[in-house]
Amino acid sequence: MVKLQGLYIILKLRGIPAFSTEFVHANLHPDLVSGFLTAISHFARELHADKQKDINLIKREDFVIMIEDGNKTFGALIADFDDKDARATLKRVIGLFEEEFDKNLDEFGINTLVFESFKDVVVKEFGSLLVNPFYFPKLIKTDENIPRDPPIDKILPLIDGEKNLNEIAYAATLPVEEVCQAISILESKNFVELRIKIEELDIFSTTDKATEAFSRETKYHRKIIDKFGDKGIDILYALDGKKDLKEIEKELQMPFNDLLKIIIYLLEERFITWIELYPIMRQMTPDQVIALTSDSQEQALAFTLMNICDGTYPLSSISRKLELSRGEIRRFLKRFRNNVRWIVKKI
Amino acid sequence: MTIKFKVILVGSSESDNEVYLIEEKDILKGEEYQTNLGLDFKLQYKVIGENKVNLVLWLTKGEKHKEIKQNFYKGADGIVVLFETSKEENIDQIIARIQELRKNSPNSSILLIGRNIRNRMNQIVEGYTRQLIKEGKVQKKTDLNIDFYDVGVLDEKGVGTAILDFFARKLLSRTNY
Repeated sequence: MVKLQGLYIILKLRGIPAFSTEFVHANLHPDLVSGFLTAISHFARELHADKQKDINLIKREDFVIMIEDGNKTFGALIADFDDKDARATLKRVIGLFEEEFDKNLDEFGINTLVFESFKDVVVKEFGSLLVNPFYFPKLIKTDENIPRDPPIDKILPLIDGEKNLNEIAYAATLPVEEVCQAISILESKNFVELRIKIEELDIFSTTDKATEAFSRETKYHRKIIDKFGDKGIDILYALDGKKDLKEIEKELQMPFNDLLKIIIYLLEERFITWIELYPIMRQMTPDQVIALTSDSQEQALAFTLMNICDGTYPLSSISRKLELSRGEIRRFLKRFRNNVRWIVKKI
Repeated sequence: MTIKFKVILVGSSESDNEVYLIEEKDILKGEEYQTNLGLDFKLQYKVIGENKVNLVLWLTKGEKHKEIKQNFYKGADGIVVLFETSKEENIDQIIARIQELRKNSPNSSILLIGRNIRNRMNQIVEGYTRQLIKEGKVQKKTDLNIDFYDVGVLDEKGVGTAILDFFARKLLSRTNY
């Protein structure tokens, strides 16, 4: 999952920002960032005078600036790597901005107050990239009125600090992206706080950023070594998207709390991401099921799973529905060997 | 509310020896950023009435390539033209310079500044007006959005701040705020 740092919507000709927001504190001055990017763009045009082409990426080892062009503005999104979903959202956001403020963009002088309302649109559009569906939202007590719209109304009663966004989406029968967007808006207005809860049965996989950390020469590698020694890198190697944390704890023979500390760091720095498993179970004859189970209870469970496991539902949802742990379901499904396939999705 | 303006600072000719009467120490307080594009950015914040005015100043002094410089002029809300004080420049050349600057940012406000240049400024504005009226672009002098500031009447200290304060008010007066 890409880590977004800041967004700038810059008036093309003038090189001054109409709108800017920071997703994490970066202490960059929007007026100067905008001028700088505009100047580079002019410079590039002088080098190769092709009106159809423009700079779309500025890259350093530890961050990138994705640039997308509009008619009167261009958008610059600072992130840890060039991500196609983030870029597509940036393009969409630029379109929405120009549609809403077309007339204001030609005014003499730029009144930044006019564009401030666009923050909600930005938070909503980037919501699914800003908020991880495995986060646990908790309501913060406040006297202010929570903004209402249909998705927020639907999810509000479900925010109890115990359910993560995936679970809330499931309970509210809403797409998880929509829930992330709604939560992202609530978080930006300080109505909810987001917590990370990691469980023994969680499965993680490495991101593209981690690929660079495997090499000894990189800044990322040194950063992890400085913080956790070789253990940090050992864990990165062990997170293969198949083993859960309990299995990794056993494999590396390290205390779970130590493992947890490193996992939290790797998650926050986006070196790793949660994995959600979507099981698919082939239709089997009663005789085949009986042969692989030991009693009528297990046979009933096998038939139930056969109906549910069609690749649509994640293991976490199935676990809640059947009130069985993810580990129990995984172990049970393993008995059916080639009759079960696992779709792995990075969150 | 905060109103932002792009303001470029240029010399009265495109030659390399542009002289800036506004010294950098006068322009900026608190923030320092520089680029290596032959271009510096400086910020000047003013509070005028109930509004905050942010002048984003583009200083193109270091850029030697005319084409790149002219790109930087594009879309400027304000242009501050700074005069060489040690020599009398040709009025026609300065008028041509203003026309050239306006080509890239036709709607900009222009502020001409220099020392003891009141007479020359009047001649420039008159000459430029005549030129535009001849071309049918304006009817009368007030359409020009050209002002001048004679720094000869002030002490050296704080000249930059006073000029930019004057210009910020001029720019703000052109908005609806």
